[in-house]
Amino acid sequence: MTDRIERAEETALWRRWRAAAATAGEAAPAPDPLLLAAYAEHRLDEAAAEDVEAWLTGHPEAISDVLSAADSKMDRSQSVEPSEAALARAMALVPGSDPKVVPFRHRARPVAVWRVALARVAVAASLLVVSLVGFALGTDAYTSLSGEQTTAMGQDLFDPPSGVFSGFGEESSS
Amino acid sequence: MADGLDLASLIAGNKAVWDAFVRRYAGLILSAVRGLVREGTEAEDVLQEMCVRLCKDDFRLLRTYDPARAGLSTWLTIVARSTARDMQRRRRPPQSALEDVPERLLAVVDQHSEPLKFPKDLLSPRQQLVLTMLYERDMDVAEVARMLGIDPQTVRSTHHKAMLKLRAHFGPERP
Repeated sequence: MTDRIERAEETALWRRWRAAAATAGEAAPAPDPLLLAAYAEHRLDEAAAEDVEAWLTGHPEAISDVLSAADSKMDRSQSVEPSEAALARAMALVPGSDPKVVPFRHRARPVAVWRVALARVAVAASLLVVSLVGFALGTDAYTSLSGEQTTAMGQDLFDPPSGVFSGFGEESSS
Repeated sequence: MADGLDLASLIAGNKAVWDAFVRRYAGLILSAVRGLVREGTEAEDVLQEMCVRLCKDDFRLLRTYDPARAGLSTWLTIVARSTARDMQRRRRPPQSALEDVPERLLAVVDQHSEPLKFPKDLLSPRQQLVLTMLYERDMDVAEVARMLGIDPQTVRSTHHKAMLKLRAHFGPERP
């Protein structure tokens, strides 16, 4: 009974202090995981340990983290077995050393506009030349077959022989 | 090397070493977060999130580990629990558990009396932590002694001296 009263009194004293005191630990920057781990293993000197303890007082939820860390070395029998799927998922985060590399398709180099225009003009010019030569050769053949005198190649273009289209008129009227 | 693991090769991204690391420590990570998250899918999500944190930015977090300062298992436990808490905070709407709210914010301020003045260093950080563990976390003396790496008798002595200081300053409380 006395112990309970004493415990209640002490709890009340502690709560009164906590309500009134602005603990420095609440505002202190969080220690990094390595510092907390060193504290859990009791490797820190007094000054460094005090800083961590002040922070832990302001963040009591982290006390269980330190306790778990201190226990982690001691009790491996409590280790949980992960599933193969979970292991595979984690292992896949680091790729193998010879990943399959798919090369990009070769992109056609863009051709200058003037080159395209020049090519088209060349095609048109060659068509024109072929047409003229073809026409001249055809006219010569016609002239030689019909027995008439050959005329200059150029004249045939502008002044075709009088008998060239005469056959059309006779055919349509017959 | 750390716990027989080639750290340099691990940080260099050696696939075989990474796979061995995952196989060796996955169980430890899952047991470290037991009690913080549900076992099964949720715990395995923490495992994956933690592995992503370790690999991210060319193993930046893993590079901060120094085997001369702490054991790898201890460090991984701290990181795992921190990762689990971060994931919980992201999932939950912003709320504070009552026990996480500092007492001073819950206290009712008596506007008719002057606030008590007391020296800020009334209690040492060690004394404050011992009282926090005993009265806020409901830990027993043996657990506190294990946490601090001291004798249980030293815990009782620290507690007693802290109480003497508080009584001297506030006067004895009548519950």
